[in-house]
Amino acid sequence: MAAALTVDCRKIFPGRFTTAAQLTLPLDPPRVLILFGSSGSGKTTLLRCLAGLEWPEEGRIQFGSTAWVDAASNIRLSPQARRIGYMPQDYALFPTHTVAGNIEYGLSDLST
Amino acid sequence: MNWLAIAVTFKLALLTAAVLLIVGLPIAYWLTFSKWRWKFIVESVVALPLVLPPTVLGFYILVAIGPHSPVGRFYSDVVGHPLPFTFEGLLLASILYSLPFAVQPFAAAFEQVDRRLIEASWTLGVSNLKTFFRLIVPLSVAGIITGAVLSFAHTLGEFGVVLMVGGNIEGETRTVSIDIYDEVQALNYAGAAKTALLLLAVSYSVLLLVYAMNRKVWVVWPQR
Repeated sequence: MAAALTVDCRKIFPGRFTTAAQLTLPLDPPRVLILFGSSGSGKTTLLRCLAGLEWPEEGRIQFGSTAWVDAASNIRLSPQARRIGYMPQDYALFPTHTVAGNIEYGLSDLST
Repeated sequence: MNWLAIAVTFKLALLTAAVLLIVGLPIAYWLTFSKWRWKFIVESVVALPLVLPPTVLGFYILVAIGPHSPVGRFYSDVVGHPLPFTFEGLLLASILYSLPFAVQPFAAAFEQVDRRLIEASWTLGVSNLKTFFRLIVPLSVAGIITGAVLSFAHTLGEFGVVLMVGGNIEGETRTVSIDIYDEVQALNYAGAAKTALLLLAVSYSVLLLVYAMNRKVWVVWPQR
């Protein structure tokens, strides 16, 4: 099976709404996927679920043969274990670090 | 002035602040970042010493570490003497009594750290522990110092818990506040006044330090 990012999950915001996502993104060859949707439709929530910053209550997120999230088996891979880049629209500078420190912040933790 | 009581008090306050720095930081971190729905139960337990009379807290600690409790028996078996009415027992009681004075400023400081920075650190692959020491702690320094200093100052003045758990043993558990009480009971107001003045000066200096630390900008003469 060719490597793919497979998402089929639901994130529940209690008392407000539920956002559901279903997509398969083949990774070989690499390609660009653009998410369209009206404000509040769950684009950011989906990206945050992929990055590991939100945990969907139901469903599964799988990268190749690795399950990042599997609500049924209680698998929740941490953001650090996912090797995924996430660049939100708001930038965040580490105020206690110099410019060089900001740039090299994550370098020491890259394993390969 | 009873210098032995002053030495015991400062030793107790310093050790309490040091232990709370080590124990309080992880508790505050968990209270700030945990998504556990029953977290408020732990929050309430941590805040309990703020509202409980010191004698009530002292009574329960005394029972919990006494020779009839499993903890007290275990300690007695290992160390060879019971925990109540020793400096170690007093230290344990002080740590529990001052817990909210350390944990709440720590947690409030962690809460103020921009969540986007923490998430950026995580998605850059930096572990939770490294994120804590490289990002959260440097951004929370004022709150961490406030918590440590408040727990130190709070321990300096504690009375009820000391009396219940530590008793009044010279050089071991007699603290400044107990000494002042003893002096007043003996109608030695001059002796009590000297020690009280010292405690007042130290407590005020400590609070000055906390408020000075929390000033946004250091300006001696504000420009008009």
